Parts: sequence; structure tokens; C-alpha cells
Amino acid sequence: MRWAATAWAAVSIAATTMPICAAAATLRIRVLDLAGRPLKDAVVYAVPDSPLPYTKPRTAIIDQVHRQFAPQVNVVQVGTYVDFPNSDNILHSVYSFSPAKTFVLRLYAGRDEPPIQFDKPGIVVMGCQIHDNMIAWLLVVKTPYFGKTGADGSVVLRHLRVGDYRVHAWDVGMRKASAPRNLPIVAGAPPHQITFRLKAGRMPQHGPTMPGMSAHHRM
Amino acid sequence: MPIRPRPMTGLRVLTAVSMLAASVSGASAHPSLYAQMGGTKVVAAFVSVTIDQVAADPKLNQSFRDVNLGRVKRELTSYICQLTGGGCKYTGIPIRAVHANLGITQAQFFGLVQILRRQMRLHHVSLRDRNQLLALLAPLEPDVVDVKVGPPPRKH
Repeated sequence: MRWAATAWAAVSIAATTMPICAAAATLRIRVLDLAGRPLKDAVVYAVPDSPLPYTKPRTAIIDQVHRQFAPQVNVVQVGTYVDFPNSDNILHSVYSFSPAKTFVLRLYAGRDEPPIQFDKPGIVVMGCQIHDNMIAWLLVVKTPYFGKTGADGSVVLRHLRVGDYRVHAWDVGMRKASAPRNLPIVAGAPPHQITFRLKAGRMPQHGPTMPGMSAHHRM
Repeated sequence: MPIRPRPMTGLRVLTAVSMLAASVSGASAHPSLYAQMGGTKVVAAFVSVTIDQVAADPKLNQSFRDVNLGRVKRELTSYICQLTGGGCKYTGIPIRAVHANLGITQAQFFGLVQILRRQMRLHHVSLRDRNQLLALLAPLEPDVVDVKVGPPPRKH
């Protein structure tokens, strides 16, 4: 038992010191539409070719505020728990038919639901059975290196370890993420930069449709 | 040797189910209130118009903002079917939970009842049947009007 604890401690230290070690690099990603305008709230993620050290699952929050999800666009690593706290305190019935996670979560006023673990990679589209226009997206990705673009269409991923990566970008309305861009991260180089040009998605006015009704939001 | 109950045959199950449905409607020899009103075709029709009119009325529609009306119609029809012995099992969300913290006033509740009453009449539901349904719906008032539920205890 003792050796196991020691090994675990060593892994923990490696994981926590990893961000400040000299071999970590920074990646700046810009996401533009086909006309060259910056895309806000696009998701980017960099998947390393080499296996990642184990990290304890995290918990993210997708709230319900004024009959809409907040935030509407989300990205988490596989294994992350997502809490749905429901700040509205009226009934919401959050559901997903996406293959990556199928669920119905009835968020009653006055009752707290346990978080849901997202254990498979993919794109999860969520709606509310009560309120038609609620819609949110959750990208579940096999990497801790992810981010969402700001108003200028750019995002910086930090603390990437040296190695080969496949970098993807995704925007609302895309049925799957972009084809990967291969990127070797090398030590001591200036910040790496990548620009994606995506066909801009349109924000739908309604939640996901039932399976079989339309293929539009099924991933 | 103890006598074991025999498993129900199809016919016996059917008889038991129809007896149950009859006892719900209150008269063993008569069709259910649901059937008397015209069954799903008529009930779904007057429910649909009622919900559309409430949702279009600025004095009544405050709690219907952004709401999926198709679902409301389906669930309300199923609820009425169960309530009037139509043989449905309501699988929707409990009435009180649906209305929690929506701030529905008594005037709004009775506003919906007025529209429902008129639509039942226009769909040729008899006075006796209209009154029976309204009597069955009246006890819902405390689960619809001004239902206040506090925030959940936070675990963090």
C-alpha cells in the first residue's frame, strides 16, 4: 500500500509542477469565418498523441438563467462531472438525445440533482422539454487542453507539454469538429500559432429535435 | 397445502381493468366521463384551443413564456384522460412541480377555466359533463396558484 501511495504522490507532484516546467509551451489559436471575421465562442482543443497522466475528474457548471442555459457553449475533458444548478428555480427538464450522452434531468424547484458524468467523447446537444428555445452544447474532448474563443476570435492554450498534437476547432451548427491540424510542440520556441477558417454556424432558435425527426443536431 | 392464486388469464386481466376504469368514472354500467365527452379526439381538440387562447392572452400568458405548448397540450390531455377514467396513465411531471415559482394568480387560474368551459361547450360537451370535469379539476388550484418553493440546500 505504501508504494502505491508514494507513486500516487509522485504522479500528483509531476502533474502540479508540469505547468511551470520549462518544457511547457503556449498555443495561440484564432478562429475566423470564411469571410475572415472572428468567431466568438468557438471551441478549440489540442489532443496530444502521447498518453496523458491521470487527473482527477473535475466538475463544471451549466446553469439555467432566465430560461436559457448559461453558458450555452461548453467544453470539458472526458470524465468531467457537470452540475446543473438551475438558478431560475422554476422547473426545467434538461435532456439530450446525443449518442455521447443520453439523459433527462428534471430540475425541480427546491431540489438539487447530483452532477452528471460525461464519460464518452463527442458533441452533446441539450434542450429543455418545457422551454422550446433553450439550447446548449457540450463538447466532451479527450484532452485537458481546450478553450473557447473571445470576441476577437482568439484563445490561448497554455502549459502544453512537448510532443505532437492534433488541433481541432468547432463552432455552433457544425455537426462535428474540424479535421485535425497536426502541430508539433517544441521546447523553447516562441508561442505557436494556428488559424482556423470555419463555415460559421447559425445559432438555432429551438432545442434539439427528437431522434428521427431531423438529422441537423445529431452528432 | 396453501391455495396459491392462479395467474390471471388474459380475459380476467381485461375484466379487472375494465372494472377499474368503470369504478374511476363512478358508474359501473356507464361509459367513462372521458368517453362521454367524446374521447381523445374531442378532449385533445378543446385542450388545444384552450391552451392556444391562454398563451395568446396577455393577461393570462405570463407563465407560458417560451413554453413548448405542444407538450403542455399532450400532457394536459393525458392528465384529463386519467382523471376522467379514460384509461390513461399520466406520466408527466407532478402538477405542483410544473407550476412551482411561476407566480400564477388566482385570476389567471380562473381565466383559463373560463376559456376551457367555453371551448368544451363549443365542442358539444354536455353541461353535466362540463361540470363534472370542472369539479375534478378544481382541487388542483392550490397546486397551480402561487406555488412557492424555496431554493434547494446547496451542497458546496
